[in-house]
Amino acid sequence: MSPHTKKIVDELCNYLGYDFQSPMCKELHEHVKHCPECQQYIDSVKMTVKICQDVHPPEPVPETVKQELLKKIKSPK
Amino acid sequence: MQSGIAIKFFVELQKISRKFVTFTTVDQSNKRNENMNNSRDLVKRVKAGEEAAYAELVNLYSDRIYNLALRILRRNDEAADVLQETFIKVFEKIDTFDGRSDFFTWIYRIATNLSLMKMRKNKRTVLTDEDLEAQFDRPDSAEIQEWRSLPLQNLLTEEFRRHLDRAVDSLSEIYRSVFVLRDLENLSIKETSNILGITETNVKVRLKRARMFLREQLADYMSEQVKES
Repeated sequence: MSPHTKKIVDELCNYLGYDFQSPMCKELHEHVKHCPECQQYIDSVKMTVKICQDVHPPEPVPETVKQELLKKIKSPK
Repeated sequence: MQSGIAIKFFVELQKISRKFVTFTTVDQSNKRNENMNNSRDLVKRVKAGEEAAYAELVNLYSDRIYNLALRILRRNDEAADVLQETFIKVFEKIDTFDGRSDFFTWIYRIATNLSLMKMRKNKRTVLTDEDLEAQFDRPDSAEIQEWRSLPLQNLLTEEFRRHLDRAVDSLSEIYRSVFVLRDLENLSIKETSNILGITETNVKVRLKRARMFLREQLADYMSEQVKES
């Protein structure tokens, strides 16, 4: 198992709520180690998140919006 | 292992554990710690009525609040409204902020709630839990392709953006808020849980379902791309 896949499986076990030494976790390790399809599935979910992040990168607040806001909150007390 | 079984393997794991699958995101804690220290000082100065501190607080948080609202609402005009309403509320209520939670969590909670209120008013059509479950059982959605081989720039087209936006738009507020805070804003499970006022387990369950739903929504499109590439 590559270090990359091991890390993913460890994270899976962690977030599935299992101890890394638990039978469920060991079974998962064993399965994913020999299953390119599962590895690809895990990769595809990761890539979905990455795509969502990249398709809409952060935008700066338009200057007019910021100026209007600063004008509104000036001395609010 | 057949491709359909691969998906069911993970779905079943989730059903058994009623927990979730998550992945590491970029650690932005150092940057946030720096902002938190600045915020503490700024909040004191705002409470003392120092006028310059208001503008400094706006400058420190306006980009993040605007983008948070934009990611939830997907409309620039509404994000601008949320930005304004958030800071007005922050300055109205600043005396009630007792510092027990981080200022960052407090302002994010206000902005998230205002965004979700707007989302509710818009009454956009969103999927129910049953609809989400049904997506995982689509027979054709089981095809697993080697997405990693696709150049990302091939996906950054208008057509793809529209496809993705429709998928995210169809997430109901309980899923969208978790997905935006955790995966797009890169907040931790704990921070997301504090902002939304839900348990960490709930964050994890909702996040897993949102991610798997979006993955399924992209699957057909990606399969086409893989075939063409």
